[in-house]
Amino acid sequence: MHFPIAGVTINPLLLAGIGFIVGILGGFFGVGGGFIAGPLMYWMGVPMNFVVGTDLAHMTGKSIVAARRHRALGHVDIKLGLIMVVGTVVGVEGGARAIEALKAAGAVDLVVGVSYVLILLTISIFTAWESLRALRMVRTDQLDAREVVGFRGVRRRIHGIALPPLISLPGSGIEAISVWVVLLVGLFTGFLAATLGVGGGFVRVPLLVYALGIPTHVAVGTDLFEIVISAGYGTLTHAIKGNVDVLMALTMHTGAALGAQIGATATRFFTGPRIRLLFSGLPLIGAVLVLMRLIGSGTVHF
Amino acid sequence: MKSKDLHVLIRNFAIEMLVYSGLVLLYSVVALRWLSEPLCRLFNSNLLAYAVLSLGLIVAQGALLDVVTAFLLDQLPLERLE
Repeated sequence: MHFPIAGVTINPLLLAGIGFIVGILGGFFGVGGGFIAGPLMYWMGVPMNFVVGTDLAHMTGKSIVAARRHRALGHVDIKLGLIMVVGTVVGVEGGARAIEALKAAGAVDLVVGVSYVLILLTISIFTAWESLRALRMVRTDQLDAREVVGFRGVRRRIHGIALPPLISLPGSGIEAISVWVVLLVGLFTGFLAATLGVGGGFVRVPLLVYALGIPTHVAVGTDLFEIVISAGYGTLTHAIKGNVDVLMALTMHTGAALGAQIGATATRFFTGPRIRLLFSGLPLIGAVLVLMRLIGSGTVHF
Repeated sequence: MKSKDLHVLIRNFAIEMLVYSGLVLLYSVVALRWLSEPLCRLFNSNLLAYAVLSLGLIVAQGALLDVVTAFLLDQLPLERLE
């Protein structure tokens, strides 16, 4: 079927299928799934600026469902989410303007594509390494598998930043942390969200867990709450700039809504480190897809 | 996972799958074919209105699908996992 806004012809059932897959991933891992959906759309021939905008649009609808489920399970720290969103919105706007500048320079595909590959590879390697380390700690020390994190030193140093104002996050079991740390996480992930067309969860969840010391299940739920806001704002600003095909987004979302419910339910049957170990392979798939398309389209030469 | 939980999960999944499959088909016919032209016109004539409508449509669809599923699960009535 032809999608006149983006100017591409794609089978709508294939789009719903992509939505279904990323919906499961999103509900389970607490990420928008854009780091898989984006590469898949780009691989199918959707222009990169539409990949970014449309991906954010479909994630907005999907994350509402998933965030509601996680909130019902008590996995959302509203206070953390609301503070973080201030930084996120500023980051999203900056990212959307960066895309416009790249579009004008005719370098969207190259810059965004290569950034995708590098970031996804880094996340994949780091998360696999850390979760294997954490699982070894569980086996040897008999620690609670839900909460163990292999980067306690990093967390201690971050919590040692005494830049006022300091806030407490009772919902995440944190007594005092600088508000600037939370805002910085939002700013960075918001910028990534708007430049790569992702919710930012594949960076935000590891940051919340490793750097801030938020329990994995709360990080997953709070991230989804954050995605609703960041993806919603990203949709609006990208649509104004002509980067959203809402027909494609609606089609993808029908599949994603189902997957998100299955994914959210499944988190209760896995421990924190195991969720992170499963998560580590996903960015790798996205990286391979983007690389294939970049080479196939002649954007990158070897 | 307990076998009872697994049974409930699979049953809920099958029912929700039926509902969403129907909705996907409906969107393929209605949303894509009927909305395609007016949305395309709006995209070319007024991007701000298109942006607001796009956000409204995707949020409304998200809320609608959630409500439909919850309603169905309550009506059948399906056992929910606690």
